[in-house]
Amino acid sequence: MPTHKEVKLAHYVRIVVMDLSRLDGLRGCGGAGFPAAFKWNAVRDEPLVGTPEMGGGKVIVCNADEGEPGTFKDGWLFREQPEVVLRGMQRAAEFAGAARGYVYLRPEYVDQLESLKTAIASLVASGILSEGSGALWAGAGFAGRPAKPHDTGLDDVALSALDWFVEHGAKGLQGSKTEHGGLATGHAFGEGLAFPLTPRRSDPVEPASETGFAFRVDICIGGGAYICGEETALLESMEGRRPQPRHKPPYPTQAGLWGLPTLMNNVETFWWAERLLSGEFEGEGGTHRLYSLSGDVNQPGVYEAPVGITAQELVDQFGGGVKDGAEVSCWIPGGAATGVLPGSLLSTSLSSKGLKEVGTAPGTAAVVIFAKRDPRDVAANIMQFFAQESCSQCTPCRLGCRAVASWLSGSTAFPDADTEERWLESMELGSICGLGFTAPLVLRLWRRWFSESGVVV
Amino acid sequence: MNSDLNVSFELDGKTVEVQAGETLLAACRKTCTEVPTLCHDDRLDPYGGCRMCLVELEGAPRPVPACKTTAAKGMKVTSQSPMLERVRRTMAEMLMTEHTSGNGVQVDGLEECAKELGVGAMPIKFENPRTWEDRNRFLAFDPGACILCDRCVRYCDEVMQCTALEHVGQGSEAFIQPTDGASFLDTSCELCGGCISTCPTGALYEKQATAPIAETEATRSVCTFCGVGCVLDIHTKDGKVVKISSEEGSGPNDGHLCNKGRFAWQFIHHKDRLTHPLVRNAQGELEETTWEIAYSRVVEGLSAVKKKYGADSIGFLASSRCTNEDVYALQKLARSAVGTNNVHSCAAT
Amino acid sequence: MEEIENTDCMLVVGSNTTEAHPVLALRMKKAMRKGAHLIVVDPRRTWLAERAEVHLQLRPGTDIPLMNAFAYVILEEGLADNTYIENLTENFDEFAAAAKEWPPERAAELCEVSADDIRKAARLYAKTDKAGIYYTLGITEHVCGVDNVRSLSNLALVTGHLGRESVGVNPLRGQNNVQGCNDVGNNPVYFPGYQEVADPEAHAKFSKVWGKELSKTPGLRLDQMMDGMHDGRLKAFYVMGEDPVVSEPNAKHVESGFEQVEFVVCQDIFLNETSRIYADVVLPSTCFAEKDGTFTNSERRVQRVRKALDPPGEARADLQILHELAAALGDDWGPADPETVWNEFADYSPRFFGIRYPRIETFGLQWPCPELDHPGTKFLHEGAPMRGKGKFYGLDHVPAWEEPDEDYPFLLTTGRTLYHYNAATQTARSEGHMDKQDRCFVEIAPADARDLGIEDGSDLKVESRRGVITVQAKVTDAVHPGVLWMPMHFAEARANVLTGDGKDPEIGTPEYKVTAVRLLT
Repeated sequence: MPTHKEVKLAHYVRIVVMDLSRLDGLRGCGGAGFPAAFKWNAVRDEPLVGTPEMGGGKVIVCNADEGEPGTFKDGWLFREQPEVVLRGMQRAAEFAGAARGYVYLRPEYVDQLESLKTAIASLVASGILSEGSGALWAGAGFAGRPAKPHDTGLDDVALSALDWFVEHGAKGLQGSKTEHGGLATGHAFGEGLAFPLTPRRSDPVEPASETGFAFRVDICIGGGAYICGEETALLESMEGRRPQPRHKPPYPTQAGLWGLPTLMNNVETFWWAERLLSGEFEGEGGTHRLYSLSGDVNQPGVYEAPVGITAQELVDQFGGGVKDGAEVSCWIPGGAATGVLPGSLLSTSLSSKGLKEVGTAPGTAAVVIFAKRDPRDVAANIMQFFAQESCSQCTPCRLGCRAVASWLSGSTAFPDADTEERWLESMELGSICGLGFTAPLVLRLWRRWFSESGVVV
Repeated sequence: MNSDLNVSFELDGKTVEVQAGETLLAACRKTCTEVPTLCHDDRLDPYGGCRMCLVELEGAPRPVPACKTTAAKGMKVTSQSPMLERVRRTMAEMLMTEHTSGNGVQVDGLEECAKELGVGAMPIKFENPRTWEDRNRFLAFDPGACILCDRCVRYCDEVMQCTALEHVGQGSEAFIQPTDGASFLDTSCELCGGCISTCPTGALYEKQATAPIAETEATRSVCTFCGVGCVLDIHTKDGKVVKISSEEGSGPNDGHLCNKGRFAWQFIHHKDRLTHPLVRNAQGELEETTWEIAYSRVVEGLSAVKKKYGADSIGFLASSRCTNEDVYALQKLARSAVGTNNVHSCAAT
Repeated sequence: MEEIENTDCMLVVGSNTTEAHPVLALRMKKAMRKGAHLIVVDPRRTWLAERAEVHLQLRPGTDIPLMNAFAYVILEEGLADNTYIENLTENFDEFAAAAKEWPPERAAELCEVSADDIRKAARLYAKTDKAGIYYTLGITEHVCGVDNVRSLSNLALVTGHLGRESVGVNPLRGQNNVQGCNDVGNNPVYFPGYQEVADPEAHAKFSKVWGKELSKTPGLRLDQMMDGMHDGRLKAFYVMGEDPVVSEPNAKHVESGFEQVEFVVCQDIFLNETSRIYADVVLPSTCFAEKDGTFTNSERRVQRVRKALDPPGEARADLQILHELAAALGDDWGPADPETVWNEFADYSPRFFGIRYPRIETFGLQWPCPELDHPGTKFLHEGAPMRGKGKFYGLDHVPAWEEPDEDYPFLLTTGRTLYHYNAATQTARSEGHMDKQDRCFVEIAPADARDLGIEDGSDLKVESRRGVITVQAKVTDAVHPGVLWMPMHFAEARANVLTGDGKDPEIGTPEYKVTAVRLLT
């Protein structure tokens, strides 16, 4: 890695001494549940590489790729309260000493793009964000080669991703399969859409008029694949390459976007951070979450509920009960990656502890209720989704997911239990990113609650 | 620059010292520790995709790819354990399950590796990957043998910087193709065949090759197409060239060749090759003759001119493509046998 | 060559490296990936030029003023390595005076580049510690080829970029054994191993080795031989593996020369233009895959060539032919064994003494290698220039032998392409290569094409005072208006029908790179 000379923070970048104790209980809401304050501190403590006007500095990224099937709280937030999220990012920037922020937005979120742009414009107008904020560009997806043949400079990579996108229109998005989470696949852009600005890492950042300090937020339209929500794949996509997850370490907090220290949080995490630090939310961090409730319930939607709530309570108190009063055959506790549980476990608390006891985790807090669906169908569907969405970089994820999907959907089976165990173990130990090492959970959960207990076979 | 500094760490219980910046894979190779790998080529940036070279690193939550992990002071690394062996075997098994045997034109590294680990394919059905054919005469693709290690794409990006290949799609739909699906003849491809040379399984192979590599005999020699002096291996069978390749680390070219060095060998067996001495007859045409007659004509001709005009009226011209020995002999012929210093070669540059 | 990878700044002059030396270019590409600065001086926008930090797209034939301007900037801005100049060079004042004559603004006008770019490039080159110069025929194939090279070495001397890893002035050889050919004495003034014919000691030595009194008269250079065919000095020609009618400049002149020669022997693997028309005897020989021996590459590395195949029909190895001929001429050299021949060469050539077949079995050795246990020499001029002190030259612009004028307004320059080699006798016999590039073309700037009503892909006649050929027009902004570029490979459209008699007065290298032509549609 090139060694850069350490430089002093530019005069217009603020570092605010902030008491983060309010964030203590807050865990990331994007699925992995990593303590939020840890990342904030880590990025603040990283030495500065270059200055913002040289294209260096530190970076804030808001992960709004929301691809986990069943999850739609981020979309809801950006539609309803984008300013709170943006203020959360601005607060993080002031804490860590960053002058640039990016929102990586799921391409299907057309409405949200509009409300986000409106919110950015209004924050620029009120002098909270720097002039120029709100520029758009497109991250790379899996459909083709976005970068120009000879890209060596990183600036050019981002630039050529844009050129490529303008040239190919929505082709880059069509190639990917993103029909999941109950959301229709749509494309953010029609023909002839022009990009008003080309954000590059060296674009100017001016102090905002009200705060006197610089923080510029631009928008990167996602590459349109599930894996783009994985933090390092997201960075690759933003830099204009195939969104294949990076090997960690280094973690994004050390070397993220363009190799700069990068603080990346989920939309909801920034939202909670802002509410906690501004005092708008008076309770403890991590005591409440936004639940995306969907499936066979009378009132699907996004609900703020206490973390200890059981699935049954969530369905009854917020979801208006199960459709037609039917019996629940199975349910998903926190997005596809958390697997399928039998209806008999609906009284499980949705806390980490409660879900750990039944073999899974809270994930993105996306609860999906199935009344009549065959659990095996649901599990097979999840695995097919993973098999399709694997970035195809590493062997165990690319082939392991396909094998498990093939078994769950009944076309072929592992010859024996030992082979199955070896394949699952290899996926868990040998994959590069979370997609590969959590995918076996679906089969393991199935083995634990369905095939062996005989609830449904 | 701390690249000269050495780093010592523990590998399988023994202290090992390597140069700073070297990977665990390099360290394993130095200490003759067997770690299989398919996606790694020393000439390319580490990729860590095939997961064959996983090793255990104390403190890491799961095994790490040796090819992609830089050795650091104080690391404790285990390269052989029952778990690692199980995982490696399973990786090979996964790849074999998807794999169909190639045509043998290239060595199939996956099959060799699987054989060594004692694993084969599982009876799990995978859909066939997508494929393509190209009208160029040098490069062909066999999707069934491809393991998506990206070596070809990375070679094209990193070494050639031509970006003529791409890895498109995801999951079961992922495959390697010429960029934008266009013919190599119509893109920035330079037909260097580097993708073939780095392909570990023979999924990319030479269309021109006429026999399986296993049946050929290799002769190491030097390319004649420019002054770089690339070392290459001429693979022959029954007196015919089958293909030309170059081995990594073998010469100034480190296994790289260009389109001429790798593919322009048809001339060797071309029908236009001269197979008999020719002399010009009374009608002014060249006609076939024997060596004896040809030699005597040369001796007659040169002697006559020398006698009439002196030795310095004879000029000798050698191609800069002949061997040192040939050229030495020619100038000796001029200086010693004929008696002139009129020896030179084309454009003395 | 691997040292190129570690350079921090490459000044590539007159070399389309990615096409002419594709594998060597990989090292440059690697250096670029590592972040090395790249400066390209070339009249064409080549692959490298497109990626260069500074591309000086100069008018062909103006290299010396440009390099002088570089020197001007270096001296003016105090970027010279004074310690190096003081201790290890001579003739600095003459050089400095000549450089003073060429401020970047003056050079910019003549070279048709921007003065700012000259300054930027000169600073980059001078300020980067590990900066190397790489050049090829774009520098040497001019009337002032030798001075061109000197102008480059001036730059290396003035900045002290010499005699270390990844610096220096590095020629990239066009053909695989140009180096070896000279090494083993294929030169009118040198016996094998660079021992001068004019040196009585060397003369005595080789006379003794070969057992007869050798000629003391220095021989004719290639260009002199070409002229000699006309003026009666040359009456017989023995041509081994060459096609002078295609490869030498002013083809018409060469052809009429061969008309006057009484006896021609050609030794080759194919019939070519020369042998088809002029040879009295044609001896079928072998290609590299059919013989044993050695080649010496651009970095002076002697490497083993090995026989993989038998020659076709009755064709014989070149060495065997030459030995048999020598015997027929009454000179018995013993068996035609390559190793024996090499040993004879090495035994009497001190710089090569240490290189022997068993030592280069696996890896080649770089000469000088004077002892049997000498490891070879990676780079010349280590520590100090080989001749003791590096000599500066005061140089001035030398106009081309033939500049464009009213009648012949275009400046034609020539070069190689990636898919073919020299006269394409081998690559044109590969269908796969012809698929990519099957005929000769001339590159012309869009503005010129518009003025003359030339369409991309149309047929075009290119005419000089010496001849005319028909080629395909390739309209591209890779060349400046007024400049044309054409590959040299195609026998049916020989660029050398057009080229003139200009040559470097010191070594006779012909000026392939500048010819005045006009276009006929």
